[in-house]
Amino acid sequence: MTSIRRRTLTLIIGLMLAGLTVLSLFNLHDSNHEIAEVYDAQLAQNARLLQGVMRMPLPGQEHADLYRAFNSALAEAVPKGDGHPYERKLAFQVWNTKGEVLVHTASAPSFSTPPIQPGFSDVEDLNKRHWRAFILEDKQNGLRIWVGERGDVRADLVDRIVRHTLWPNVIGSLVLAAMIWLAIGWGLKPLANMAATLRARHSGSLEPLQLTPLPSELEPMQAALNRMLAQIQEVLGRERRFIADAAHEMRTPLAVLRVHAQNLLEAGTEQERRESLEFLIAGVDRTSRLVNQLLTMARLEPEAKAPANKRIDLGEIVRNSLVQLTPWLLSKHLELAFDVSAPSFNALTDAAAIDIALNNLITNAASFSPEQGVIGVQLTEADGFYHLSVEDQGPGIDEADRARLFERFYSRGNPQGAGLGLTIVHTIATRLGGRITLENRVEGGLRATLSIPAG
Amino acid sequence: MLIEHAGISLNPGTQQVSYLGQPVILTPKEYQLLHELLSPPGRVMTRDHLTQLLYGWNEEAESNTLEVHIHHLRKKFSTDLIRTIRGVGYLVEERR
Repeated sequence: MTSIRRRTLTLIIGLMLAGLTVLSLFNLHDSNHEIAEVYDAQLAQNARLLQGVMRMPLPGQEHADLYRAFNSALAEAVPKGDGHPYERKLAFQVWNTKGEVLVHTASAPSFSTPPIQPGFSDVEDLNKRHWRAFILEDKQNGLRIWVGERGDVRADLVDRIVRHTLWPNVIGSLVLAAMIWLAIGWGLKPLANMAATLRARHSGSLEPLQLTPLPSELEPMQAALNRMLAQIQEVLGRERRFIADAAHEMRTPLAVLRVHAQNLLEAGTEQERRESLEFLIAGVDRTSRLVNQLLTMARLEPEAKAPANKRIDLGEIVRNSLVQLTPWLLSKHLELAFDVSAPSFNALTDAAAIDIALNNLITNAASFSPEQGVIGVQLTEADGFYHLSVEDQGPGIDEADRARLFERFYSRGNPQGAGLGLTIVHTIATRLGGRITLENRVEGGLRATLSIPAG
Repeated sequence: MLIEHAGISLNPGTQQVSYLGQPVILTPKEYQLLHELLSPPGRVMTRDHLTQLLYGWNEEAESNTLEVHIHHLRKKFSTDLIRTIRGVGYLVEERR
């Protein structure tokens, strides 16, 4: 498992090290250059100082005495307590035009051939030691002044400078890394808090998350989680309610069946036996219808599947459904009439859902129709909707009832109804992007209209 | 096999039809229509279905030709033999 903290730290330390390395390299290069400049200037200055002393106007003999005094002084001039270790690594010597050494320091190197080129040079002495040197030629006084410095002095200095800056850098980096580690941990604390809150929750808890304080980065996460929790809660609640209602609803028809079976057992005459059997069959039919409707509801409710929309002629779908329903309506001594306002109703919709809805509306109409009643079905188009109306000649609806009509298991005093029909139609209408409206007709009876988007 | 319903007796083998014991003369289209409506009775036949049966897809039928045939059949048997379900189709009821 990857850790955000470790990933971030690795990246930051990598960047830091790369940056430090580049800076150190620049530093090293710069130090080298500056040291060279300063030291070279010192060499030249020393040479000129020496030249000033050497060309003092003195009578002939005194020059020789001066050189002697110089030489003996320089020979004794070895570093003492108050000196500096680098002193030994500085040297100079002076030749005359004939190439004879006039004065020199004890540390002065010997050369196979004395260097003659004026200016700065890098040379090697007989002991293979490297010198940085400056030669000043004084033709007027016949002097060639050589001032040199051991190369390792500079190398040593640069080495020290680098060492002195490197260690603080390394130690500083380690301290900084530790601090960054803590800082990232502090920055990620809300995430850790969220994880802890989630862990501490009861596994079955569906309460929405309430993190305080909630950083803006975690807001969408909390919102998504809460949306999901709410959905789960709703689905669970619906399922629980549905099972309870369904079980409750099954109890009555089963009790009725039991009564009829009991009567059958106690029937004295053939006539009574027959009657009880017919009641029993009707009761079984009612229970089957209830079970079928429950199954339809269960299929419709979860809305897991997208409706199987196809381009169809709504008129043909309705007519085919009515063909199937007509024999049943005729057996109940009811009339049926279907009117359309146009030859075809082209729609992109779910034919099976329309069939279920129409079946439920017709069943409702049939339940409330008087004997010899007419059930009228109309298909019209208006305001971008196709309106499929089913009219009966029954009692219509009370305004007081209206609100409860779409409630599950509410049947307006219909002994045959399970109270699921309108709930099913309502669910279907919503799913097809339409609606269901109920209205009492002026001439009496109810008009139920399923409206779905046209085209 | 003889089809008998509501006093009508129809013999698919000989294409002879009688009503209440009396032979009835039908045109071929009328016979076709009656046979379809009686096999079996109680089913609704849509206009489209019956028109297609009589004329197929190619023949151009007058819009009210079907009604004319139905009208003749009613006259030759009884007016309530064939029931019109408005907007849906025609049927011969199962129980009479």
